Amino acid sequence: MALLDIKNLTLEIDTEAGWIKALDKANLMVKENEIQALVGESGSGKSLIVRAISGGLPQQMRITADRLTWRGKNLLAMNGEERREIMRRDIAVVFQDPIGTLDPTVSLGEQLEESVPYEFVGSGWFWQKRAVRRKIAIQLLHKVGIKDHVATMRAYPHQITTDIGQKFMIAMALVSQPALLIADDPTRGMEATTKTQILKLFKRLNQTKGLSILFVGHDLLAISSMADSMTVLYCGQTVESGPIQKLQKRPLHPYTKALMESAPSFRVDLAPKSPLVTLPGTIPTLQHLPIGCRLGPRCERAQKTCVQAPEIRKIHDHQYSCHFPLHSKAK
Amino acid sequence: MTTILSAKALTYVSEAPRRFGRRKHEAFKLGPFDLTIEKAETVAIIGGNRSGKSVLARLLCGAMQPTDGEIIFHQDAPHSSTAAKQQWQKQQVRMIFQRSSESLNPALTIGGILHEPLKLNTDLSYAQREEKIAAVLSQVGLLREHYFFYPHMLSDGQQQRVAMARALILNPSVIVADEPFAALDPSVRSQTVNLILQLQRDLGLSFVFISHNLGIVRHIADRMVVMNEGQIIEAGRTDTLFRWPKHEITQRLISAHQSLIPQASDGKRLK
Amino acid sequence: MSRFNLYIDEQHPSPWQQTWREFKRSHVAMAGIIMLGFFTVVALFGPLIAPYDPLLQNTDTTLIPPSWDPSGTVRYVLGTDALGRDLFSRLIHASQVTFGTSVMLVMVAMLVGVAIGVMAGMSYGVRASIINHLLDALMVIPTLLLAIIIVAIVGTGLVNSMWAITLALIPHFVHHTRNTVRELMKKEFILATKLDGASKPHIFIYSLLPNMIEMLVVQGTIALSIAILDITALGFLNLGAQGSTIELGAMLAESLNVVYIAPWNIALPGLTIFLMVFSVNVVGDGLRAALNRRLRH
Repeated sequence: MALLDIKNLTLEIDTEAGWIKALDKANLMVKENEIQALVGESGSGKSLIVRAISGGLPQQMRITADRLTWRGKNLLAMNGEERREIMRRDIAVVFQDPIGTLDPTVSLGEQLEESVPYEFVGSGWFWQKRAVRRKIAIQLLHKVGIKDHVATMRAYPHQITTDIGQKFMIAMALVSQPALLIADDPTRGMEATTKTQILKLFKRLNQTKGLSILFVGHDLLAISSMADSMTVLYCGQTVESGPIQKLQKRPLHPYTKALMESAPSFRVDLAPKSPLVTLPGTIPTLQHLPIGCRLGPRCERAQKTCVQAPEIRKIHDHQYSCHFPLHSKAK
Repeated sequence: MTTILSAKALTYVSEAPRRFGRRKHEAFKLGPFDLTIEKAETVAIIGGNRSGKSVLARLLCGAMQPTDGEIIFHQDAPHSSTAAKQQWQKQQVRMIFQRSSESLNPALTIGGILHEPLKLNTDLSYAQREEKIAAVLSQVGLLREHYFFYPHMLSDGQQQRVAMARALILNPSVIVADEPFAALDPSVRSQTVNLILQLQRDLGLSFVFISHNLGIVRHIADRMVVMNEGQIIEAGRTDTLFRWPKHEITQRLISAHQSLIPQASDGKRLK
Repeated sequence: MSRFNLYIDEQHPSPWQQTWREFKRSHVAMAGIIMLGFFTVVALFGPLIAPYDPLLQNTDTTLIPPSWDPSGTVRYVLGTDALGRDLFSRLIHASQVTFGTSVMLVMVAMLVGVAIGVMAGMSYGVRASIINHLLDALMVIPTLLLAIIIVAIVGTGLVNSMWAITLALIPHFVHHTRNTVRELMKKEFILATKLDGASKPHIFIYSLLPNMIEMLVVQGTIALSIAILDITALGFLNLGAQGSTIELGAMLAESLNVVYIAPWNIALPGLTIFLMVFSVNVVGDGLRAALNRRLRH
């Protein structure tokens, strides 16, 4: 069953040039117990999707969607109260910069204990409650792989390293025992050892706790090592989605292929120092989005019909939207 | 292969920050170690946080002065005086910073930014400088029109190209880059990698760079230097190091990277 | 990358032009800058506009109300004062003095302040911190009080009060310049320029100054409004302009005796001061907002 189901989500931003569709009919589905990766370069609108899910969009943005549901319940029809309740208990978000999102003036232990929902604390005198909170906090720290809980709980955000910080953020996110964890580029700029640790932690949480994870980022190497399925986003359009093995073995959209090839580690036969395959040009800015398929100007397979947005086509659970996918012969 | 740059017993000790009423923090110490860079080779520096990679890069290009030891540039300077020699050496080793957006002066046009190193280091006339700038812009894959642009109008990838142009404009023989790929998107990153490879082929540049991305390191680096806590713990040819890492930390880094690569096992990749 | 699209309808404004474009979007700020332009014209060409000699006394025409009053006359558009001098001419001359001297002293203060601030910002160690903390401590004292103290020492008079206000304003410029310079010196592009072998003056002219101008304009407008208020206040307290020099604050003070029989004598100079300060503040605010908006893009 789908935990989170997004169908044709359009998000418009009010700019000087009028309303611009930053997300154009984006689709995303996160099933229970799966790690779904949302892949896109900067400006592809992946953070906007996260914001649309978590609510609280600023005035100059408006969203419309055929479906934006959480466990079958329409998120768009909910009032603020119900929405917050879902965000408080069911969905947790881990941000890119762990240390920047923590309160610098409060010790980590206090921050973690404070975020324990009152339902878990039970009744009792305040010192009993405090002990329970502390116990839950320590358990959580152990769960995410922080062994030295005493030092960590006592530390302030500026005293910890990035990997402890990211683990701590994950602990903070897990405190309400959510069903879905949204991780917004959590391994950006990390060195290999730390990154692997964090990724393994995600994988373990997914396997042992049945936690669904929406992993947002563009590090394909990290994603392919842990995710079950993947959705590729380009300039606010969903270009391809499906199980990760299928996408990896046979990408159907030219953009997915280009992304895959941009990571030299994926290529078995790549000679050292040979040029990498890339798409020409750069990601267009919001003001200069092409019509139709937004990859159009950068795509070598583009033809006349590409000025119309392609429909979603399906091969089993592998979806793509391209007029001239890679398995068809270009005429 | 000729050695172009070598460091002998290079040491750098940072002053410990003085804090009132607290235990003295340990000073950061780099080195001493030796390092050589050959002509037209690519050297990657990898290592964890606070391992001294950035300090090493800055020492190499002269942005920081070593506490002890020396950096020798093995190429005859066309000048005889010591000061001119030093200045010339600085021109020969150029640096590219991690965030190109911050390394470009926001108040100047691209043209103005590129004029600066020429004005300070050469005796070219205005017209000659213009010509040189146009040549360098096309070399890094930008247009002549970009001369009139301000940095904020360019995308990340284009800014990185401008930073590259700025480094190249003095015809250096070594380029030192501090995480040039970290802030870039995958497709732009590949473009930049291609650009560097091509420039290296065309101009015979030596390229020293810091990176976390072992995939790219493996792809473009000839040699690798692994650092930890201010020391070089292992150095050698990339292939060798990837296949037979000796030091424990290198092993950990390499195996962490390999564990992410799907299907393709080691043997298959290297066949 | 070589296929970069150049859109015909799209301009690539310089940071300055961009600020100006953002500034134009605010109507209040535009009204302010027009008013400021008007005061500038008056300050430059005042004597050519004024219909009468501002010092010409006429006992036949004392305390004539402004022309819109039933007993007023068109010959004296804004009426006359207790000595029969034409109020309109006096206002123009007074605005010239007040506005002109304020602009001048702000410029001097800015020059000195920026020079000290850049020195403090670019150097490290004891010298920098002495400049910094000493001058920061001076900022605790309100400029007007500081000016009064200085005038009390060197004596009254327009020139002395100008010096006093200039000295009082300098710490503000030093403070802001130093902070901006410190911030900029940390940026990588300064390091890049240094690696090119740039000298300190070169760094200042090409790397620091262009990035500082906007801060200076904003701080300049703030200082200008302070200067106008201070110079009129000193004039009002009889510490500033003396004798035949007409100044808005001094005009107010002179008219205090006739405030009940000829209120326009007080209201009109007061209104002029108000408009002057108001327009300067509105322009400064508009600039600051425009800068914020530009930086957010």
